[in-house]
Amino acid sequence: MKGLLIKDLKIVASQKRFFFIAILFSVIFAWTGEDVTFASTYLVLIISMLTLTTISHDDFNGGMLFILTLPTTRKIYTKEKYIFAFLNLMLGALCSILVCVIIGTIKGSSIPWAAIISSTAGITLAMGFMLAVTIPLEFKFGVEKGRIAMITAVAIIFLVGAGGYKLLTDVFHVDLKSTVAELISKLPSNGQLVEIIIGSLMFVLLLAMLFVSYLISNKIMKKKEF
Amino acid sequence: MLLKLEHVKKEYDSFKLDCSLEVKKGQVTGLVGSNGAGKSTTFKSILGLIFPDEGNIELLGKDISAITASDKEEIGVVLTEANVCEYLTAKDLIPIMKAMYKDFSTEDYMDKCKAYGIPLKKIIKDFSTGMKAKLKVILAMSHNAKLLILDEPTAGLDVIMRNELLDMLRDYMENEERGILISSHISTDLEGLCDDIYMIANGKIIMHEETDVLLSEYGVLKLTKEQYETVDKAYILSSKEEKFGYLCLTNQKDFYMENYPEIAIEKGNIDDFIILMEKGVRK
Repeated sequence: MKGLLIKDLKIVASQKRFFFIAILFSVIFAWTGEDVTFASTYLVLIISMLTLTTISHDDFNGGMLFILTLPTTRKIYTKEKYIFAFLNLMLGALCSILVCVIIGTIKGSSIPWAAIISSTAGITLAMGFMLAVTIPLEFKFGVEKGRIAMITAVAIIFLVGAGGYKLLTDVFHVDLKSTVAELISKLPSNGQLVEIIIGSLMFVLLLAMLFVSYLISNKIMKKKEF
Repeated sequence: MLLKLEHVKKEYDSFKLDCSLEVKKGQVTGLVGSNGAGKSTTFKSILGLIFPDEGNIELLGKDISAITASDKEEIGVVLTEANVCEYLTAKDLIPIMKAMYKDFSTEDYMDKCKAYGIPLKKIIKDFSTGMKAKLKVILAMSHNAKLLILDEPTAGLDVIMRNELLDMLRDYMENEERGILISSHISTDLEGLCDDIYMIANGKIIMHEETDVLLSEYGVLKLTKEQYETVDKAYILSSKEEKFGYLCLTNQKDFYMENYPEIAIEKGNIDDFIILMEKGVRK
């Protein structure tokens, strides 16, 4: 596991120019833009994509064959990818908050904590979902076909979601908006407590998505022939 | 016994593998055969990269399904299709290998890279084919493995590099506890290195012999049609019709030299034997 993590870090390090440009852009966005949250979402997006970059590199020119002849197993490889993905998501979130706070402090403006944290948490969860869908698809179909499968899967999820919403509102006449508003109004009035509850739920949801995705990937890798 | 395959079977649309072979301690075993004969499928089965339909594979005294990550430290592998993560440098591989193998020697690895002209700071993707091939072999031999599994390790190397690599393998075998399974389509490489050789064609092992026996007792008979009709065929393994008559592979060259002095007999080499066994009519 340690060797595989070092390998992935080395791959990331080999992309340091790209990494530097990404941070530079996010600093520019945070500095020039009125809305610092754009910079935060941009950084999380870029850093979390690093996991997929390492999968592409592993897959390139018989790389997986080499990796699987090393003292590792398919299970360890899969586990390492998810640990790496989780660490990237956390690193992305941390970097985005840091960039926004540092730039905000330098500019002397007040730091919109709620906006920064909520946008970072939202994009981290969204990217976690994207990885949870993409990783098993890339393991199953390879990097190229996996990306196409991912786009198809996201489209299907969107269509099912939109269809479900339409079905509930138009056919079953459920007023979803007021139901959600009602649910939110039932939450404790202490704003900080609500944020902690929602934050924790999002974190648990992120872990759950990655765990379910890991179980699926494990099954795929167990059967895959190279 | 370092490796034992018993009727390992794998079926694809137009190909069927049925392979049995052994690699003993202190021995270099060769696997020869033409392209698509089943060499890579055999290697991939041994390494658990594909799953055989039937048969048993015993690796380092254990059933292959029981092989753990740490057991794999005892194996050094070179596969034709497998490549080191190409966006890294040879130097980047040091901490990775160190974390993977208890017995990885950085000093030895660096010395070998220097000796064989492997640049440490160049991206592997930009290496020549020969440099990539040498790096793969150096990595396979860098961690004191008991068994080396080498699929076409000399592919892409010129004659000087091939000889250097074969010398490296001979040095490696000074330790009697070790063994090598090696395949190559350049059979002269194997003649000077292997203790025994398996020949594979259409997924089946069609011959297994000690290299010394192969080179001293096997031969190619050149027979006219009349000679072919009358000659004793007891020791003819395979025969192939030619314009002048027949080419026959024998495992008792001396028998024909003594009893049929009029017959043209050539010593032959492993390439000739492969052609006759594959293309000829086998007994």
